[in-house]
Amino acid sequence: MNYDAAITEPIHREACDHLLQHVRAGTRQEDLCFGLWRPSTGNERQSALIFEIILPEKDDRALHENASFEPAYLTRAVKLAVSRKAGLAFMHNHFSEGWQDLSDLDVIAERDRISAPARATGLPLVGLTLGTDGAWSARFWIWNGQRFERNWCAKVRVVGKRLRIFYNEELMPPPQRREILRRTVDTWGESRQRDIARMRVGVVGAGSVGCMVAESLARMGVGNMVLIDPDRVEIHNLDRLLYAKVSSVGEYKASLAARHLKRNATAEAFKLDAYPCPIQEKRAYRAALDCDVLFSAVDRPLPKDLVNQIAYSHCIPVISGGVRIESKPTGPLANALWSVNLVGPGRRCLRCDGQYASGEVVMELDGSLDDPAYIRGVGGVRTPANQNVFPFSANVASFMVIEFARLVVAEEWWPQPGSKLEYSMIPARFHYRREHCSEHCTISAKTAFGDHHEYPFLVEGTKNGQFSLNTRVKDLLRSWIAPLLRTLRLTR
Amino acid sequence: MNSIEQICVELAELGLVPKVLKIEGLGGGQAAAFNYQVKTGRHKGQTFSVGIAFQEAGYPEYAPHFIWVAGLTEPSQPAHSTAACEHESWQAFSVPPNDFWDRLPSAEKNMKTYMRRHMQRFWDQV
Repeated sequence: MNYDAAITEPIHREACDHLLQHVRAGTRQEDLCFGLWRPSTGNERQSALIFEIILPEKDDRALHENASFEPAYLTRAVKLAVSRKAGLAFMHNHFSEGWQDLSDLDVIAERDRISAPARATGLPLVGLTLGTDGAWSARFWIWNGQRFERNWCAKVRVVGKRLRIFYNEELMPPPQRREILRRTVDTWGESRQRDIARMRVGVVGAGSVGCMVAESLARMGVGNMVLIDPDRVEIHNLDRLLYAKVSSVGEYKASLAARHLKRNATAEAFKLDAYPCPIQEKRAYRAALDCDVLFSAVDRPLPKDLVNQIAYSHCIPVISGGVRIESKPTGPLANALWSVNLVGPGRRCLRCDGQYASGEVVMELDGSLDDPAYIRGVGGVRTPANQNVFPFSANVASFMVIEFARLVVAEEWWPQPGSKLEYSMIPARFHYRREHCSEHCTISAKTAFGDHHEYPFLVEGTKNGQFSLNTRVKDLLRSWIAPLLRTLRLTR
Repeated sequence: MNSIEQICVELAELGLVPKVLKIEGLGGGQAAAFNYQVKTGRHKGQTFSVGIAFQEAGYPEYAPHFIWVAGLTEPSQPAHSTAACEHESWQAFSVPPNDFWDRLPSAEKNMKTYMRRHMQRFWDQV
């Protein structure tokens, strides 16, 4: 299991304002505070989602260049954590930049003084250190039956208008500069490329848009990807689906894309896990929770709802894109619109944006959206679109990856990305929107709830839960047999 | 407590007497069914067996989709499906409250709101 911590931007700012107050005033004085965290558990990653800072009150701590806390402060923090069913976090600052190691005194404080009382929460203590540049480092103190063992986090994510990731370079060393990526690195610089290369990025939906997103990411040097899609290639996909040819019909889209992406990736040690199953299947869902960013290229309400919930509950930004075709009653194209939503803490959620309604999720669950008689009989039902053209998908995929770049490579002076980018083809017009969630949005209200918010429609895995060798062999056979049968049919 | 049981509890709090009804092939498959006296529309004053269909989980965050009605003749809007159960002929109507449910405060996502804002207008239309 890898360890990781995530902090939303407002909590990060509050912690920085407290811990760095003396540094900003020009004095060499450390400070400390406690915080609360909730777990977010993926297949390979345990994240601590910091959701509240417990600031010290008068006489809670002593400042003497170093800083020390009074037992009453620790007791108050533990009690609060227990009452909130949360874990305890301990935060302090150092006088240098970047990822921080621990001094002997820090170890004594975290391991010997705080970890044991923190066990009352049922969760390990998470220690975090803040550098003068606002960079976080973090570790979990886990009881191994005999003593508290330090488990360093691989990274700490600050999630908000931008996504900033601070890496533990011992656990996640930066990749070497490669000639194959020279033009990319020269565009946004070595440092940003190192961040991109070490991210784990998930793509939900390996259709026409998802495949082009995945291809862009693999070419950009993203080193670790997850691909989730339950569908198989059908003949009517061939006019839009990257990698697909006639012999691909019948193959899982996720495994087809995975094969090509592994070949085209520019990262030195490219890792890709393909899940040819729906994202609501638990293994695929947890694989999504292992990611730092998710792309959503799905048009059904249930997966849209699920990634929307992940964006807030698990603090994993989602970039969602889609194409909508408007036709005249007589047939011809009236307009084509595509939009890209940047979703997550501080931004408008997909439900508040009108991308789906909870009632439509129920319609999908009770089978109505797959029932042609229902679709025909009930007017005004928003069903997944059938029309699309390759360049529309290419354009929306391109916008999605550009929004990703704006999220992760942005400099401080860049205008902040909004919530939604829209393009209307006929008038050739762009809109950039900055709306927020509605007042009573229950999805953004669950920001950093992590595992405490259980998605109600998760299902256990089926036999195609992950891209297995068996699946590969079957797909390979299918890709040979299908065209052979077609040829035989033609010659008869 | 699963979703359908919770719906039953909330309906009981409104003075209704609900029971869980399962009808294979009728929209949703299971519903909290009760006797309902129509307050508005062309069926005003009549009492029908009515069901609010839902699956095992998700309520109240997710809005119910189908309303079942037994014994309704010549409805103004088409039914999605029909089935016979307990000597009655049931029809399932696709009427999710998509226009308001997701904007409600959490405390108001309940059967009281559903019955007041949605069930009454359903009878205005059917």
